[in-house]
Amino acid sequence: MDISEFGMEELLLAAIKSEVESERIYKETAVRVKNAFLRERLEFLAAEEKKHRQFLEFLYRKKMGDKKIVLPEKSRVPLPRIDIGSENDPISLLLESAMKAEKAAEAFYNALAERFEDDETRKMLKVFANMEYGHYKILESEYESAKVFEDYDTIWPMMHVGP
Amino acid sequence: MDISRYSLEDLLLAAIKSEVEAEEVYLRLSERVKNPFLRGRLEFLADEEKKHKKFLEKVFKETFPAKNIVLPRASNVPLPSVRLHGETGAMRDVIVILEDAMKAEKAAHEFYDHLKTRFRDEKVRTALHYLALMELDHYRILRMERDEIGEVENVMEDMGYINLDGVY
Repeated sequence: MDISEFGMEELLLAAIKSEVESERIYKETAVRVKNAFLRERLEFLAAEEKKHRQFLEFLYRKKMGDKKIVLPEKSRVPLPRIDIGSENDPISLLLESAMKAEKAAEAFYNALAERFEDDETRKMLKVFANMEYGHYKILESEYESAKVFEDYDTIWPMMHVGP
Repeated sequence: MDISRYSLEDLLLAAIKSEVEAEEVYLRLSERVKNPFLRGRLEFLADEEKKHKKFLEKVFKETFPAKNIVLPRASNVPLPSVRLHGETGAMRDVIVILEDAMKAEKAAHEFYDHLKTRFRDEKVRTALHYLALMELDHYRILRMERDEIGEVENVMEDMGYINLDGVY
């Protein structure tokens, strides 16, 4: 992913915005689904995106000093959003969209890491890239299951192993 | 993995026992690690193992309605367990525990894939396949943590960022 045309501030703000949106979408979807395993996985992804956001805010303050974090309405930075679709859409559509977003986030963090000169930040951002790839693999598992058994979320009482 | 010589009852009880043990290991380990990402991941794995256990208990009760679930002290079923402590009683190295857990998750993946063939009910078969996929996800998560644990903890510590929750 080529992000050379963007300034550091613009990149960090876009990344924070992307993490905020991903967290929100995973949380909202978690409330919607009935499969207890999928729900928990979405909550887990939301919790990791929140930690990413916290780290990025920390990084922003380190780079920009006391400058207030104001997220842009829209960003030119090529970080795709997860398409939440409509309530009646099969879950596989959302999972597919989330997979694309996680893959893009992986490429983005790898590219962003190259923009930092200090080893520590580079390492952390590379770890984030790997985490996003890990998210992609989790979503891929769920997507494969959803494709095989699209209605598994609604007609399968066995999977509702809630507390 | 050949599990054909074991009874379905033995297999289900061994699986439940394995999930109980895995949940405990992940939870206890999560209390000891400093890295908030690893801690969160271990808690997540513990929660999933807990849900696997509940699901398997449900399958057991439906398959053997007249029987109580009594977990064996030891089992011949080839499901490796993970230990937190070594011979000296000291906490084992986190990386060693993660590597043992990786082996256990891989074995669990194969185990559930074989176990599903012992059921005729298509829904149970599909659910066990789903469990098998989850165990593979666990393996991948643990492998990533094993590969990066040292680096991440040092970096977070150096950056003054080890306690994410405490920062905000």
